[in-house]
Amino acid sequence: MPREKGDLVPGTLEMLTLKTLSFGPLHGYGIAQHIQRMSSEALRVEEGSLYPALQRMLAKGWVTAEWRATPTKRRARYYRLTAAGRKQLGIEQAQFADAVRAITRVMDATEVES
Amino acid sequence: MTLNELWFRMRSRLRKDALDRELREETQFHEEMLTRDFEQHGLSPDAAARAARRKFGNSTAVREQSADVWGFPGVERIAQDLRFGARMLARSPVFAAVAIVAIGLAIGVNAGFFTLIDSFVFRPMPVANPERLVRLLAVDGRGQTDSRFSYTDLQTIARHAHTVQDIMAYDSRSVALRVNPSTPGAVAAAVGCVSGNYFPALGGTAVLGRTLSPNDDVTGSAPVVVISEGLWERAFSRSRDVIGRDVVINGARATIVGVISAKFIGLVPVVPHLWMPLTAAASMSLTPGRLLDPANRFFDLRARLRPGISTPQAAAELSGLLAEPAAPAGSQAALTRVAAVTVLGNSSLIPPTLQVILIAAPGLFLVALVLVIACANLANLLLSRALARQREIAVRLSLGASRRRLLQQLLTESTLIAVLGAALGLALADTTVRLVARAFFTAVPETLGVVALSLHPSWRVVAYTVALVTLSVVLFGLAPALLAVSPNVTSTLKGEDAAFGTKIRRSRFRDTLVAVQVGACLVLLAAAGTLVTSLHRLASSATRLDSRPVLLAVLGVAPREHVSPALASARATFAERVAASRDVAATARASSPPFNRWPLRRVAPGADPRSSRSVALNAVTPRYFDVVGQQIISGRAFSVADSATEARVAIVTRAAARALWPRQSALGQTLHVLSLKDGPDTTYLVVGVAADAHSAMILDADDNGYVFLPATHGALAGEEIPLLVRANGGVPQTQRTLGDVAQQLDPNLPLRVTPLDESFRDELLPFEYGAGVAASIGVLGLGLAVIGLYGIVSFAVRQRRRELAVHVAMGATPRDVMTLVLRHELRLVVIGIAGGLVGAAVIAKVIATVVLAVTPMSITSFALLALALLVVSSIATAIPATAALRIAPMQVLRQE
Repeated sequence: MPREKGDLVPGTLEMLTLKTLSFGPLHGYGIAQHIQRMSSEALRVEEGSLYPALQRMLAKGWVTAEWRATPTKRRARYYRLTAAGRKQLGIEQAQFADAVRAITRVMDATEVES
Repeated sequence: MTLNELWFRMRSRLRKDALDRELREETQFHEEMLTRDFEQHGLSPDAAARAARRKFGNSTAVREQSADVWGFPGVERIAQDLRFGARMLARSPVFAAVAIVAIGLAIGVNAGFFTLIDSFVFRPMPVANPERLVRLLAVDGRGQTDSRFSYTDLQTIARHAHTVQDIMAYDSRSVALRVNPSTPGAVAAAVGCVSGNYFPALGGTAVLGRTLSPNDDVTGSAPVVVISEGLWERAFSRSRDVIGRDVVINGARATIVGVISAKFIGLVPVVPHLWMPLTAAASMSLTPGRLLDPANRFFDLRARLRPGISTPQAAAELSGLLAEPAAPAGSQAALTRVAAVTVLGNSSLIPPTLQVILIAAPGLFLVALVLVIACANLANLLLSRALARQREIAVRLSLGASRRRLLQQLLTESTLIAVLGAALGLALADTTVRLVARAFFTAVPETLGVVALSLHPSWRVVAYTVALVTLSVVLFGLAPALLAVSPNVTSTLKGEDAAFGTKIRRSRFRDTLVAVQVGACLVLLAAAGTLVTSLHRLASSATRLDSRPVLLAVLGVAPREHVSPALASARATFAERVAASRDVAATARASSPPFNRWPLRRVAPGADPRSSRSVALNAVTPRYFDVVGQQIISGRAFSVADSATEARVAIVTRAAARALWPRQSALGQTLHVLSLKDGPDTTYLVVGVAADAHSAMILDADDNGYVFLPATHGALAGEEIPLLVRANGGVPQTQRTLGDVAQQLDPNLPLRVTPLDESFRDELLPFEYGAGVAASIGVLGLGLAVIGLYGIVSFAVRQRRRELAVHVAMGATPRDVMTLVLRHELRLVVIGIAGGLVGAAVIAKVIATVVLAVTPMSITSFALLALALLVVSSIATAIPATAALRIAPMQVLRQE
């Protein structure tokens, strides 16, 4: 089955969220907006799937959450990266870079080595 | 899962509702923001809301997935499934009861059978450190093994062996016991004669005083005994000053030094009333012959392997220690000398050898078949239920429930049934086994001791049951559950299944189940039938004697091969007075009671020892044949003169005559009885042939009958030789007379009177029980199969109501309707029976080769069995099918 254009590479949602939160606390809607804007709308998430991921990250202690007023005076839940979350972001970034490098090497190969 | 996460999950579990509310608020905010975005892009409020919902995705699913980290959903789902399963069962209590009882009976039968096997074969002996226990067996020149060793063998091993330690001897004797030396009145009791290390080596402890020690088992030491807690309670009312008191055993005094804990059982599961050291027992003549005579072999020897030693290593060393020098070839001694010693691991009562497994195999097969039938039965019931629930399942699938989740739920329900069934089964097995065993053990005479066989289900039985539960859930639960969750959702929702016969796809799986059930049932019935016929033949094989009015009377209790002159004369007087009584037709004595195949001796029809056969030898008084009702077919019985002159004459049974002189008349032949040691044979002239009588050892394949010799004075002097009494008139009256005579003679001598038939019946008890159990298992299997068939047909009728109603409306006669309903089912029954016949024939062959003394069922009874099953199955299908006749077409057809 062909992958639909714009679907997230599996498992990257958490990494993208962590990266987004590394710039400062943000609510779920804000996180989704940021990821889309930064990827020039190329990465599209079913935005709801962000919330189970956030709950998982809460459980693992990578982020904390608190209710605050938005600039437009609405109540929203803001997520903040913890030290553990920052460390996790480093790990995931490194792993992702490794994977990309490996995939690139395979895709760039010009002949089958014997 | 880290500690942090665990803490988070635990906290979340407690405030799940609050978390859900927060999440809902959060997602609502998200959707509102999205809606606002779309409105700013110029969409109408309605369109914007729709677009926002699309962009956000399924919010219910989002909330469900988020809840995955709140608490422990995996565990909670199981609990939820269990609750749901229990509710489903409670909603149809009849189904639940039938299912649980069916699987419970099947698992119970299996668990019960395994409990028996476990108690004998796998349960470690109830002694300290049973793991390295071994049993020694002597191998003679013919390669046959025998467990008899002499006391000197024990001493040799204790002194010189490096491969084994704790070498022990145990031998039990019946004695006349007086618990108080100053008051008369002896009772029969069992005494265990043990080597001095018996208690320390096996971890026996005393509740009062001390146990026996090696220092007690030294020639010349004062005779001491220890008593069982049971005897202490019964005879001494648990009095603590029992230590130091004397008891009188066969007229000799011995001092009580301790009371052994009731927890101690020892090497044999029949616990004696007292134990004494071997040397003391020998000094009281409780053991045969001289204790220190190397040829006096009567001990069963056990030992422990030293650490790191294997059984072959021990066998090699012990063979070197005990093997006797070679004797001249061809002589009797060359055959009977100890040629080697083998060592058997003996950590349980019966070591699990191939032979033991083969004996247990037919029983295991039988009970396994019951489980198969019950599982097929349940699979059918579950399948019917699943079909009935098809619509519910389709609805849930279309609402987004995953098939895996539904499968898990259905399997939870089957597991629930199996577990409840297993609990019922274990309880049933436990009670049944213990009831049967108790009935069985009470047949063991008090003079042998008290049976102490542990029959409680051990962890092995529980593990076996758990394995059975798992197996049966897979057997009866998996397939119906898989079929249930894969229906065609749309057609089911539209109710198409209820339309016409063609639409109700007869599931091939269900058809197979029906055939398997019937087939397995026939195999089970045939196997049970074979066992019942064989066991029943053994159990009712009877004595072939006119033995009903015959009583065995033993006055006093004497050690083997030694009767005090006082007891001998008392017995002689007793015999005279009994013979003179009006209530007695005749009396006789024999060196072995009838049916006892001991001693076995080699006899030959000529001088050549190679043509010898092993027969049971018995020395009898002239009226023996009259008393036990054994007919002399040709020749003559013994005369008084034969005994008096010690005439060398013999009477052989027909079986012995056939074995020794095939195709010739035995009368007038010369019979050679080979000497035990290296001496000349004794020859006898055959003067009579007697009718055959069954021995108690029915399973003995090498049954060459009996040879009778006239009893000389010496032959009847020792041991517990009973007086055989033929009653004149009523047996109870004669019994009373015997008691009176004994009482007048000497009230101190215990008298034991047993009807001959009863003593024979005791030997047959195992076969009677076996036949009873096999028959019950067969009936159980049949019952399960009948319930299964009944259920299937009544379900089929319910499902085809509409189709049948159409047929009736179109003018089908009741007969047509019955044919319509029954044709298919009965064809399956016939297929099952055909398969069962083949299977049963194979099984009968296998049983006959594995188990000796099996009488295969005749072809006629086999055919009758198949026919009976066909009839029963037809009734089981016909009764629910009559429901089809009561269908009112208009009512059924309007029902939509």
